[in-house]
Amino acid sequence: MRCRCGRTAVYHRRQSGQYLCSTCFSKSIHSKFRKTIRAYNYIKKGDTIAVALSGGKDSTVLLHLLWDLQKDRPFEMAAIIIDEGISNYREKTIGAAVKNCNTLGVESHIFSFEQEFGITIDACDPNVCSHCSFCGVLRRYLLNQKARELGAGKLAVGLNLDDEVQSVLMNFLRGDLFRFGRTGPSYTESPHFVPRIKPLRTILEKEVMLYAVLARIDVDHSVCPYASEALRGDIRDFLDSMESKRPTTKYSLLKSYDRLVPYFQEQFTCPISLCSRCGEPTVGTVCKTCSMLEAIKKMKER
Amino acid sequence: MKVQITVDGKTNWIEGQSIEHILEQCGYPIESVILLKEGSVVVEDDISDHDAVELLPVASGG
Repeated sequence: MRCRCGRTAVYHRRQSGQYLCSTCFSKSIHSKFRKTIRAYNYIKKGDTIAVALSGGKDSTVLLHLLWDLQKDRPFEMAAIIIDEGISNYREKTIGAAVKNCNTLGVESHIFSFEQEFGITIDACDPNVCSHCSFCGVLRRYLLNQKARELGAGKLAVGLNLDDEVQSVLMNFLRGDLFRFGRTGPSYTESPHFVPRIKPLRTILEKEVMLYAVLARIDVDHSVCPYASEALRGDIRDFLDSMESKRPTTKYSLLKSYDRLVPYFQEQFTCPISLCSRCGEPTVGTVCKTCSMLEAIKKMKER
Repeated sequence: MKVQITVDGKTNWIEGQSIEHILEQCGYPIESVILLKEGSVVVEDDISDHDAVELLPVASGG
């Protein structure tokens, strides 16, 4: 098959029926990325952006696209790498993350769960909470805290279109309407939260992966050993199957969700206070991180 | 059509009505994999009978 420019096609964008060569595909990704940055006014000249970098394809592609954007729109950028303590997995991804930062000349900062909380994901007891829940809560906590301490005005995360619509369905299936309103394109709860930006939220995971492969970006393709525990996996399979049969399913879901977000954000809000133990923002008296760490400590003492 | 599929280092000959059908049989909807033929990325239309295809699953990370 041929791209409309005449070169050999490497991608069939089934949602639009286009066949794209490597060059035209790459241009289309840059264009989608920049369109999202403009649409949500994500980055202004002079901003300081912290990039949540894992070394996997999504955050690494995000780092490269942001680095490219810096040529036209000067802003400061640094990467935050979190070591959750997952053996035979995180070592490789951190290696890839650091290598990419060095190649692009981006400053990187590594923080570990062990150093910050005295625990690793491997040591976490699944009877207290699942590895994924524990990891998600602690990682978000640390990313927000470290981004703020580094003086970043925004935290860029590599969530792609698939991640976004999976979260939408997960929150809907769980009946978690508060969180449903917090998955949107941008969300600022309190001055203690560094606003998160998601420049890849309109790009399919398959396209992010293909961009990394075609641009020969050094990424780690490992799958987290605990990933199979997550409900997300079932929803991913369902959405991939739907998208294969009915292309545009994922786009339609995101579009519908984006129209509902303002309503949910208005209807389901709760006051933000500061955790009585650690001083980080929370909707209760004690934040989720402190509660989880306390539960694990009690379990160990038994 | 019959295609030699390699995924995660394991190779099998799979038969089906189309490449989409073959991928489904392997547990990979077309939207969840990248196809490689002779080491290069290809579109599904460029897969022919008796081709050797490597699958690169899109899902990775956590």
